[in-house]
Order: sequence, then C-alpha cells, then structure tokens
Amino acid sequence: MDKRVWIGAGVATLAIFLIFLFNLSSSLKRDLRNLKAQQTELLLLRDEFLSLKNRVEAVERKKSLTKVEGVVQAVDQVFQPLGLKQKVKSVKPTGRREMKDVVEEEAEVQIEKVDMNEMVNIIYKMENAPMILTIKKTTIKTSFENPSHLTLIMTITLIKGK
Amino acid sequence: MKKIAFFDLKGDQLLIHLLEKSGHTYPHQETISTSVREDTSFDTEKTFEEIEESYLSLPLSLLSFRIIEFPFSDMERIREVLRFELDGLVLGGAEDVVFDLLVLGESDGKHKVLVVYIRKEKLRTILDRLKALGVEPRVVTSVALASAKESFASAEGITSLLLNPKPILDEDRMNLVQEEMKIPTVNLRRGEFSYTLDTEKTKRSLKLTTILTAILALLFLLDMAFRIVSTKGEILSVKDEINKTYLNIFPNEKKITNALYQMKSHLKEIKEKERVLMGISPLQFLLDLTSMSGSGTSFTELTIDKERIILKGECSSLSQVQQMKGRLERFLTDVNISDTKPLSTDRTGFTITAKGRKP
Repeated sequence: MDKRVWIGAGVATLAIFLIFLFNLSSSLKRDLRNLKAQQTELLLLRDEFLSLKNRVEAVERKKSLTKVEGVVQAVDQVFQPLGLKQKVKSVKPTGRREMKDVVEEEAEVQIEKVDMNEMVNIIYKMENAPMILTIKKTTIKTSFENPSHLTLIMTITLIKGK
Repeated sequence: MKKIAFFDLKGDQLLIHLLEKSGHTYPHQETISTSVREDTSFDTEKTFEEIEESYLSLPLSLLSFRIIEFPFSDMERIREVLRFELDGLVLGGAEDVVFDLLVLGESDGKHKVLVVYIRKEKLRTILDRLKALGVEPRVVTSVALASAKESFASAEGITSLLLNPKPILDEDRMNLVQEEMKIPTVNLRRGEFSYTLDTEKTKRSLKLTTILTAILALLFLLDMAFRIVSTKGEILSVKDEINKTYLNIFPNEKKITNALYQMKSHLKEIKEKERVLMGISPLQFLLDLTSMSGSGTSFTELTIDKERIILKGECSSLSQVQQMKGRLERFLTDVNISDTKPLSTDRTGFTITAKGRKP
C-alpha cells in the first residue's frame, strides 16, 4: 500500500486515540468533581446527623427511667410533687398513634389560675420529666379578672414502649 | 531585505549583479565582473553564502534556436508535440537538449513559436560550476534574448537579431535583468534541471513540522495518560475517604453502594424520630422574651407550637409595637405584625406572629 495511506491511517488512528483519551480524561475529571462535591455534602450531613442523633438519644434514654401506663398517669406524676393538682382543670386524651416499636399518646392539659412561678415550675417539670413527655403546643393567657393569674393550655405527648 | 545574485554570462565575461529585493523592486547594489574561459569556467573571490536567491542568464552563443509553426496556441500541447518535432530537428534528438519556447505571433491561423534550447551537457557544466560556489539559480534565462524579443518586429526580424545581436547598453541591460527576475522570457530550468530547492526546503520544513507534531502528540499523549492515572488514583482515594467517613458513623453497615444516598436516608429517618420525640421548649422562649421585652409592654396571650408562635399583648404606642417586632427578629424568624388596634385605655393592642426560633 502507498506510504502516504499508511501515514494517513497512522495519523487518523493517533487522532482517534487522542480524542478517546481526552474524553476519558474529561469524564474522569467530571467524576472526581462530583465525588468531591458528594464528599463535602456527606461531611455536612454527617454533622447534622450526629447532632440530631445526640439529641434523640438523650431523649430516648429517658424511656426506661419511669414506667407509666398512659398520658393521664404521666400528667398526674408531674403535678403530684408540685402540689398543684387542684389547678388542673382538665386532661383530655386526644389521640393515640402506634409506631414502629413505640406508642405515642397525646393529651390536652388545661391548668387555671396559676401564677408565673407556678407556670414555670409546671413547664420545667414537664420538660425534665423522667419519661419521654414532650410539649407540642402551649398557650398562655392572662386571666381577665386578675392579670397575674394565668391559664395554661398544653398539648403534650407521651412516648412509651409497646 | 532579500539578497539576490544575477549571473549574467556575456561572451567571455561573467557579470554578477548583486541586488536586494525591496517590495516589488530590485535596487542594484553592485556588479562584479570576471572573465570566462572557453570551457565556460571562471574564477571569483566573492562568496555567495548570504545570497538567498539567484538567476542565470546565458549568452545567445550558448543557445540554439528553431522557429516552428503550430496550428494551435496552447503552450502545454505545443510542449508535448515539440518533443517529437525536435527529435527530427536536433542532432542527437530532443533527449539531449533542454528547451523552452516563445510565441512569436500568428498569421493565417498558424502560430509561430521560437524554440530556444541548449545541450543538457553544456547547461549541466555551467550549473555544476555555480553549485560549487553554493549557487542554485532559480531561473535560467537569457538577457540577450529578452533584448532581441523587445526589438523584433517579425519572425524574420528576430532571426536576423539572433544571428547578429545588437550590443546592449549597460543601463538597458540592468533594466532587462530586473525584468527577467520578474517575468523571465524563457526558463531552461526544466525537466531534470528543474529548480527544486524551494520544494526541498518545503519538504524539509514539512518533515520537521511532522516530527515536531509527532513529538507534541506524544507529549500530549503522555500528559493525558499521566492525568488519567492520577485522576483515577484520586477518585479511588476520595471514594475510600467517603466510605471511611460513612463507616465511622455506621460501623455495622457492610454494604455501601452510595454513601451519600444512604446517609440521606438515615438522616430522613432520624429527622422523623426527632419530630416525634422532640417537642417545643416554652421555658427557653419565655427566657428569650424576658430578656428583650421593654417597659410598658405586656403580653396577654402566647401560643407556641413547632410551626408558629403568636404573641398578643398591649403597649403604649404603635412605634413600640414596631420596636418590639425588631427585637423579636433577633431570635425569631419571619416576624410579622398581623394586627394592631387602639384600646380604650389609651394603649395599643397588637398581635405578632413568627415562624420559629432562629437556629
């Protein structure tokens, strides 16, 4: 075959090979860029995950501290040591939800004619109860007759094992 | 500027005109004269290393001529036919001569052509002598023929001019030299005597370019290969780091297909758990509220849940409501005054809403 044909074929092969390598290199660079972006995102998610995990675990540890039958008993246990049982106007269980390995019981608690100090004590006791008792909603109103008297309406949930 | 030498053989003399090319003109620098022996050999002390282009002019005495008629004027066709015509006209045949032609004119549909030729052996001798001096003429022409061509009136006229050439004045000769460099009357560098220096130069530079291109391509190839290998290594290292990070958090997971996707799934799971287990903290909110509320403001109702906070109260003026909003914005997001109304006690009632605590 003509020498020029061989040279042409060689040049064409080299060019095709170079284009292939160039494409491969570009594709690898793109992969690396994506991986680095994934790594950065993973590190951010890791921090968020660990922070959430710590908070959740701290709450979950309270599960084994006290055995309660239901949310009404839990409310009773919170108010008994405070000596404010007579100020609890109502405890209305509003729902029960079964989840993977826990049961969530919800109730609305209405407390009347408490002063600021008593209200703080109640909320503190609720937040730090030796069980998974969480406040989902709180409404604090001043009494019309005596503004120093407060009405406290709380929606609380108790999480307990099945 | 390009240095040019015009070797002008004139009987027993060789005139070497040195010129410099400047645009389209050839300013004359000097002329060196040397004697030529019978065998056309000559001596010169001048060296021609700096000469970039050269021309040769032969005297009429070294050239032979024939006038031939053709029924066509196409030069290429004439050249082809002439080869056979000359075989019968020239002693030794057309193979022993190198020729060029000059169209003299047309009459009765016939084209008269002046064939100029020289024995190859003779031309080779002259060219070899010049080559020994490092000179390779681009064109082999004849100034004397150019002069005859300028003055002839008819085919017969030129015959007599070629047989009895008129002497050419120095000034006219120089003009003819310059004209011949631009458009030569004839060029006997044909066939095996073709001027190939430029082609060779082009070939050499093409070869060099090819070699350099090949080297460049090779370097590019090596660089690319190195980049590919190093990028692959880097990819493996990043993948390894990602897996290590993931395994540090979930050491019990054996199969990692996509660490980021798996992490997002775990995060979603724990967020769901957090939503169920974590409530609001009214005490923290009350503490924040105490630290920022100014004198003259009192709250009558507070509603706090995960999605929304509603504050109702009263203060002495509308501007105090605005100030209150500004202070709440320090720790709450999306704070809005949703309602204000004057109260009977010369105070202003307000309702402010917010989305939640700032992270």
